[in-house]
Amino acid sequence: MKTNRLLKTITLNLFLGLTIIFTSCSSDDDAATVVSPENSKYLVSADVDGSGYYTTTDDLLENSISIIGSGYEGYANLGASVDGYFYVFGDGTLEKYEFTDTGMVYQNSISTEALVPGSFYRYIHNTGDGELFLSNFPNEDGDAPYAIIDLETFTVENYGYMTLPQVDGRSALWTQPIVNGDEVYIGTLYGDADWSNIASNLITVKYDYPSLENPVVLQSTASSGSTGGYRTNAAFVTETGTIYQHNLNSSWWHGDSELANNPTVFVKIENGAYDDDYVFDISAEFSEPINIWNAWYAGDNIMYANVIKESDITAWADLSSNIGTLVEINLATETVTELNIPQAPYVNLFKAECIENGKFYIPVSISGGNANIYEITIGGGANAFQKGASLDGSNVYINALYRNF
Amino acid sequence: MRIVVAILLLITNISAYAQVNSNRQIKGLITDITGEPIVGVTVMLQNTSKGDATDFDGNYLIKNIPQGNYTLQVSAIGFQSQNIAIEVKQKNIIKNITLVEDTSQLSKVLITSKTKAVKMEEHGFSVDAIETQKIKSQSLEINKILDNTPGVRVRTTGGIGSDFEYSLDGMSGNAIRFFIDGIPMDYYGSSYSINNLPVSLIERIEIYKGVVPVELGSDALGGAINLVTKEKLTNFAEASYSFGSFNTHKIAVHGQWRFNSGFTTRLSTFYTYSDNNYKVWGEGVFYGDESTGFQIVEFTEDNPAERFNDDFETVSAKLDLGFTQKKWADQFFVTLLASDLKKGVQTAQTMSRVFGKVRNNEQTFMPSIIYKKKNLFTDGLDVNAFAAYSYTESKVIDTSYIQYDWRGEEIGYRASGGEMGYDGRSLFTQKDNSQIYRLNTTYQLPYQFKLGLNYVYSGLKRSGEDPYTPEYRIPYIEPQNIASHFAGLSLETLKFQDKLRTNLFVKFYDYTATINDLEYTDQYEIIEYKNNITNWGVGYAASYRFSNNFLLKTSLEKAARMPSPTEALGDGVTVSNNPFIKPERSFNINLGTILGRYSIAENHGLKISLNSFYRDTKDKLLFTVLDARDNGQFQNVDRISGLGGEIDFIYDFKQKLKFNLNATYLDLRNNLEYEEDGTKNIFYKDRMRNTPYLLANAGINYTTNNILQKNSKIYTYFQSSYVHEFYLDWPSAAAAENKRTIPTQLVFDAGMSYTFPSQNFTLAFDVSNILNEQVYDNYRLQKPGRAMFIKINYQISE
Repeated sequence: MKTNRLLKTITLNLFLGLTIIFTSCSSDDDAATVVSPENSKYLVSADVDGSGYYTTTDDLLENSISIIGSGYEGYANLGASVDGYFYVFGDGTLEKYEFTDTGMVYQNSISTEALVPGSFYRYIHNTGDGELFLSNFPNEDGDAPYAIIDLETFTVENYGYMTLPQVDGRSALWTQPIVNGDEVYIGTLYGDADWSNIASNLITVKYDYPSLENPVVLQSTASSGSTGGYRTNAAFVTETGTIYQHNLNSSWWHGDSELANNPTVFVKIENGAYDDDYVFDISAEFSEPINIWNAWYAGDNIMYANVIKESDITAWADLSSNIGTLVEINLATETVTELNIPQAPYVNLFKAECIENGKFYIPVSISGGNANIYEITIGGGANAFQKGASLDGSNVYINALYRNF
Repeated sequence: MRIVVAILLLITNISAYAQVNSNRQIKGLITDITGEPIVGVTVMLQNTSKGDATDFDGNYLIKNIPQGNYTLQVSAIGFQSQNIAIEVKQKNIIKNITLVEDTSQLSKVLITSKTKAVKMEEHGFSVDAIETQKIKSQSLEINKILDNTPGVRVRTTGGIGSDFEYSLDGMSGNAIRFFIDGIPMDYYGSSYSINNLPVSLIERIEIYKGVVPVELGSDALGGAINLVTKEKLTNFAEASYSFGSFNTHKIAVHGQWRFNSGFTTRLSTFYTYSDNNYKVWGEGVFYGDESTGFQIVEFTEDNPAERFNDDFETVSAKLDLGFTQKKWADQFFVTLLASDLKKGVQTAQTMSRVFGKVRNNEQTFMPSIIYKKKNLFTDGLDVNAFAAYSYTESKVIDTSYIQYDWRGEEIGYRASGGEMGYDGRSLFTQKDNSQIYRLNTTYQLPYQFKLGLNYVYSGLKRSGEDPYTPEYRIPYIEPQNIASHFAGLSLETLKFQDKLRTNLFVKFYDYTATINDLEYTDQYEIIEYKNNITNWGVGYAASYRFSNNFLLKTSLEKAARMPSPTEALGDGVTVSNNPFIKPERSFNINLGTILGRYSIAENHGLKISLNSFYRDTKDKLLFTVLDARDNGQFQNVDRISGLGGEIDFIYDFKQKLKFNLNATYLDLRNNLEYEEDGTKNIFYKDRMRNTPYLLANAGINYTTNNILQKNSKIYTYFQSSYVHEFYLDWPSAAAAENKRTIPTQLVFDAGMSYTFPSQNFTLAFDVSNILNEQVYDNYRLQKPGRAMFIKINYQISE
């Protein structure tokens, strides 16, 4: 088992730099080796008045995309598209579908009810190494459920609860993992069980992967808040194996208005520790307090992020209104560019895993307006985008976009 | 309230006017030998033009009679006529009469006096009425009986005691209200509900569709079902015991003893138990563990799973103590109702989530007083008053730390405990303190007009406690309140030799709620929302009988219904409260006809009923799932409207063999073009999701006498019901081949009963779902397969 693990790790490292960590955002070379079934290249997931639907398409630009008379019922915002198969949470299950010329064909399911009694998996993370890492934030005892799914056999390789260590008497309240080789980094928010006494620094817990042993607490004083993200992950592995991480430091998230005065930053984790020399102060680029609620990595050190002004939130429900602004963040040059794409409630966009030919594709669902896919030229600046395919109507919210082939 | 006072003053004035013109009169009750009132009996004073026909309750009244000696001629088809000498001397003479069935007449004419059920159907309201006389010996649940009625669909989530939802001509959920003898059943507790009450306690079931008369004093806007219990004047006792599949036992005892003084006692009690351990398989019924790499293994028809935490047990007793047929009261009863219910909870909203230890318990205690009097103070003024207090304590027991799968095996440990939610174990006790007051009066005006007034007040205070209180449950522990006033005024008339019946009515609703919400600033804080809403409704019902075999009827209502306690206040477990909930409103129209009964040749009869309807509902209250555990909240959803139709075809041969076929088609659509925020609704004009739209029932029954023994009776039936496949979600969403469906069901039931010559003892056998079909009313919630029951009935009466 250990040999197998080592082999996988070496293999992964060989391909680092050649592939982007999310295989659904794989490069053209990869795409060329896999024959895409008809009408299966992309998967678009939507929410319409509280019900979930998804459909597949080969074209994100020219035509409209419809769930009327086509596609599937159910939520697909928590899913992963890997090597011609789509994995998505069902009713107490993780379901596997194969993309075929005649549509998505159900293969099998894993019982998540049996894996995680009394809880569920909030996050589904494609390790890029033939595995899915399922997880949720910790229970009141500080134990966070996880499961590692081997995709070749579609069986459970490892599962259980991670016991997050206490830090300065505080417990982990929120967690989200990112796997990097033979380590998994758990972004966290620490505080007391009633979400008071929130930690004033950034905390990440590193484990060996996949054993989930040897926890090491990494701390940074660059700012405060959650490094575990919310809908999306707050940590990203670049082509060189570097982890960049942002914080979510809104008082609407952790309830501490004093800590919320600390800046929104990007920090770097290298060689198993925070690199204190790298702190990219995003807040400094804005004239008033802001937070990054979602972010998506597009490659080449370029991030796209949903920035929301703290003053635009007067109630939690405001997050679902048109107050999100898309910005392009270059982590290498440390620049922030506001895109001239309409404001929208991006906070409910769980997955934007679609990169192709130097373009990043993101759904823009305007509350009270229409939903479209936008094509953004990666690193192209404020106006380097075009409006692409539209969805059915104005009560459609696109909550995930995947590239399958 | 001012309106109510004004109406009462109006009635008082009219009463005074009538008293001045009163004279000698004869009145009374006409019953058959079992004490059952007979409708439509002609009562005439010989050699005069004075007379009357008995009403629905068997009462007659002949007024303005000069002093003297007369002969009362009493006649009804199917009964032996009587001539009774009577001296009219006193101002008020009460003469009750018992008629004896004329079997020779029946065999020749094949027409009987109209039952109450038939008379009900001739009102302008869209109403079906079911006499339970023939079927009460069978092991049938009321839900099952009603499910075979045109336009009615009862969707149950499982076996005996399971949750259910009624749909009447497309209106569903809490838009349908249930009554027992005209009293809203909301406060009687779950044990004394329509799916648990033994049919043997019920004399007649009235089903109002779309338009609901004022006397059913409530805010039902989609329809109403009124269970009418026995009100015999004679002493009787009935007992039944049924046992069968899934270790099901049902016992019912019902009786009345009336002393010469008029003091009357009644007892209705029943006990039901079932393991409900029927077999399930297919989608959602699976297990997965380390031996399978946690890949799911679905149970199959050849290797099914057995439900293991679905037992149901309830006992209920209702004791009436009071007086009947006294000068000061036709009925006056003090009633005590007590019930206890215990049940396992096997699954969440679908079978994909299985529970091993979750249980619900409920106890209800309800004292009440009822007073009925016809001709109170003055002729033609009938009063029916009811007052009750109800205390219901219901408990959700979800304290297990163990996770179960469909094998019934323990497969895991839940760190926080509790199987239903993510928030840890729960032992939530909900306490409902309710009061209900109802006053129903009718006054017979000149020129065959009748004024009706109905007023109902109901108030409920809901609170709770939980030793493992999570913060989200705090709003449900502190008291929340809901109160409603309902007042209805109707004017009814019969014209043109009773060919035309009309009923014009107006309704007033007032709803007040105090609902707690939880808000978080730097700590959790309860915010109390107060909400007061008033609404008016108006409607009419009319029928015209062109001939004995042709009747047209129509009804229309613009109505509202207030949120129910659970819709507004939540249940503290799976249903969240909604401080901003609004009443549901609807505009309903019915147009129907009854053709027949046509006699064909000498022995054949045919009757056809047709009904069409239009429904337009705004702010419909629908349960909306809000989390992955299927917990949610009732929210207002605009807007649903559409048309529908139903046909009911009955053929009989010598009235012994009866074949019935009915079918219902609904075309209800999502008519919300733009949402509140101005966005266009992409499912505009879609057929309503998760709503059956094509239903049919067919059945045949046969009654024969003297087969095995002289004076014995055999009753047999064979019934089939069909529900066409329908979609869980909006029909236009997703490709047809990928949609989640509730599959077509075609179910056959049959039964037979044998009544011994003494007429006291009946033995019945029933088998339901004969072909053991896998049947669903709801998505991934399988209903029981084939089940067999034997029932023993014993009855004695004076």
